[in-house]
Amino acid sequence: MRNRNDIFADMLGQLHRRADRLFMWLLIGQWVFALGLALVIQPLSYAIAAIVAGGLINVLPIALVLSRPGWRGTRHVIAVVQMIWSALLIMLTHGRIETHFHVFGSLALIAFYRDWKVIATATVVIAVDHLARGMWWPDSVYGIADPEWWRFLEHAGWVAFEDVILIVACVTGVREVRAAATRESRLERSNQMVERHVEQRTTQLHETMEYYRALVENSEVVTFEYDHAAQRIRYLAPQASKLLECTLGELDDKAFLLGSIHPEDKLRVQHELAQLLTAQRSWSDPIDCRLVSKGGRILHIRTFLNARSGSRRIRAFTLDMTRQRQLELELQHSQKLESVGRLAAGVAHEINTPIQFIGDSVQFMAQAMDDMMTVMAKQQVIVGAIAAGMPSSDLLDACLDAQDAADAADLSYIFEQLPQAAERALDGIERVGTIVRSMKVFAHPDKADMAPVDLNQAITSTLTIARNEYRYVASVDTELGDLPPVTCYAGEINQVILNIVINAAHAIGDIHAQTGTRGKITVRTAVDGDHAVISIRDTGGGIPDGASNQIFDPFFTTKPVGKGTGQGLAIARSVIVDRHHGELTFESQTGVGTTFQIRLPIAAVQLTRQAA
Amino acid sequence: MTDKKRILFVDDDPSLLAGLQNVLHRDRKRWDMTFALGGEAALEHIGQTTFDIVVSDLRMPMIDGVAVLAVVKRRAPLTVRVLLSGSDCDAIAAEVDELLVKPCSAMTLRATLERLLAQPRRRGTNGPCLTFVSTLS
Repeated sequence: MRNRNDIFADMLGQLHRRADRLFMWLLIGQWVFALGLALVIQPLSYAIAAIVAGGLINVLPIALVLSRPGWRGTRHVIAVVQMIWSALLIMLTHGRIETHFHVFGSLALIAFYRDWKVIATATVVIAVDHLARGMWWPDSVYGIADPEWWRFLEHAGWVAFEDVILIVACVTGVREVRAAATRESRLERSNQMVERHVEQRTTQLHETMEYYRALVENSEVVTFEYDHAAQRIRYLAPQASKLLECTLGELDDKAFLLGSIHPEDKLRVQHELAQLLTAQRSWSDPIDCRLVSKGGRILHIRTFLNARSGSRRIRAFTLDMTRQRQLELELQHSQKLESVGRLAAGVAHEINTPIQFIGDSVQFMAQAMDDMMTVMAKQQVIVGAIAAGMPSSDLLDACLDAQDAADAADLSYIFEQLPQAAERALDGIERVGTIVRSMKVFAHPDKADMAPVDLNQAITSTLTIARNEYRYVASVDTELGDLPPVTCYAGEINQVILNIVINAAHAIGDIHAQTGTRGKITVRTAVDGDHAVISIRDTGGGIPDGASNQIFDPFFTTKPVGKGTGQGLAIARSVIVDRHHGELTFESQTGVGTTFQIRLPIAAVQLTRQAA
Repeated sequence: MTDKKRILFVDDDPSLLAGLQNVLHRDRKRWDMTFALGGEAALEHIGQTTFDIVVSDLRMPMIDGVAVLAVVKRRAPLTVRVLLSGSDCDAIAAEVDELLVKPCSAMTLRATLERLLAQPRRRGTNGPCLTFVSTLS
């Protein structure tokens, strides 16, 4: 940084160089003027002097101005030469007093240098000139041959008078330049300070920006901002490119981003977004949907949106829930396997009894057939004997033989029991068939899509295969109303009903173990507006007060270790609320029982939260 | 008639009892068989008669097989107690002498009953003599 002395020196130097150039042109001008003068003046020697001497004296100062402008010597040489020009012009005009004004004008111009020493040099030169010529060649100075001896003093006096004024002006001028330099230096310093501040602040700003950028962009959460008035994405964290397996450039492409939303979810996302914008609520329920990455991977994401009322910008955070979704599915699957495993044992038991009596009945029928054939064979012998005219004694033997066989076979018992045994076998086969069909309805090869389902049939089937869970402790009443087909994921709904029925059976079982009284499970279905309502009431001990707000939490269970995983009702809630947009509620009274109520939308629900 | 062995069958399913009755009808001359529908009926019979063998289902409403066989054990320790059950895990608790797993063929059932009846009575022995009979062998 320049200090004020440097600035002062610079300013003076500039001043000096400007004056140098001014004098260069003045010197040239004076010589041109002298050339003109040479044409009119006498004698010839003067004209030659004007041309030659005027040209010669100009050489050194002009050379110095061109080669060393601003140098101290340059301006002293110029001062000397300018005074010589004054002397020359005074001489050429034969000492005309008016030409002496050139001296005053030149001094004033020399004062442009703001250097009193240069004025002194010029004064000395002109004084020496007047003194010398006044002595030896007075008419070339004063225009007369015999001036008074003190004439030079009179001239010197006027020059001194001007010098005093000019020197005062020079000193003042230098002081002003110095003051200006000081001002300039201050200004420069404060400018520099401001610049440094700006630089610092800019750096700080960058650091702050980088800090927040790092916070936002080094997280798993994808932050973005959408201007819904301009329909433009204002910011999208670059991690999104990792999720979508695309380039950073493609993140700027709105069409690409919208295209990555799973086609089945697009309408619903639009709908939920529109609802959010009209809701005037800053934080919405999260919106879940699926994305299809560029590589075709299906991602499950959950987005939290914040649209401040009156603002056209929506800020949002998106989480990749794919892994959680997978875990949820796995958990749901394992819960299903668990209950299927238990059911398999129960169903095997249910099937064992009919198989037992089908086997016994068929076995009896086979034996009876055997016995009857034996008797009939013997009777054939009698018929043959009569036809052949056998002697009556032999015939009697054959008759007794046949009678013995008939007695041994207990034909009357066979005749009485055979139709019943056949009916029983058929009935048993029907029972087995019902159970097997129920298994099939229950297991319902899990379709990916929702389909219209007869809920009453689903409930009946589920009760059939769960029969072994409750039949020894409770009876089941069903009051199934007329239901239209309900569009749902049948396998999942069956699972929910099963979980609740098993819970009911266990609750009743606990009471039964203590008191020996049989309980009752009542299952009702009805239509309520555009919902189907299933209620499952038990006469168990009720849900303990402390547990009632936890029963839908995963891993919460009141059952002993090994009897329940705590998943049943959590999954039931997830299936009914998240997957079907229905409701799952309960009422419980200690010692009286519990009623669970499931409300399911009947109509094809397009807007289910599939990607939950 | 007095030599006939007395056997009581207990189950809560009438069809199952009817099936047993049918298939064992040919043994009526050597065995005096009673069929009780459910635990209460069984207890009534047990109160009136001493049986050589009681064959009971395990899981029944109200009074189950375990309770029935416990009463049998208390009232007539010499009676052979047999479970005819769909599951085989609760046998120990009932302190039964024999376990038959449903479904059990008539042949197996008959052979088992014959074997049990041929065994000398274990007067004074309290410990259960568990023999598991493989089903449908």
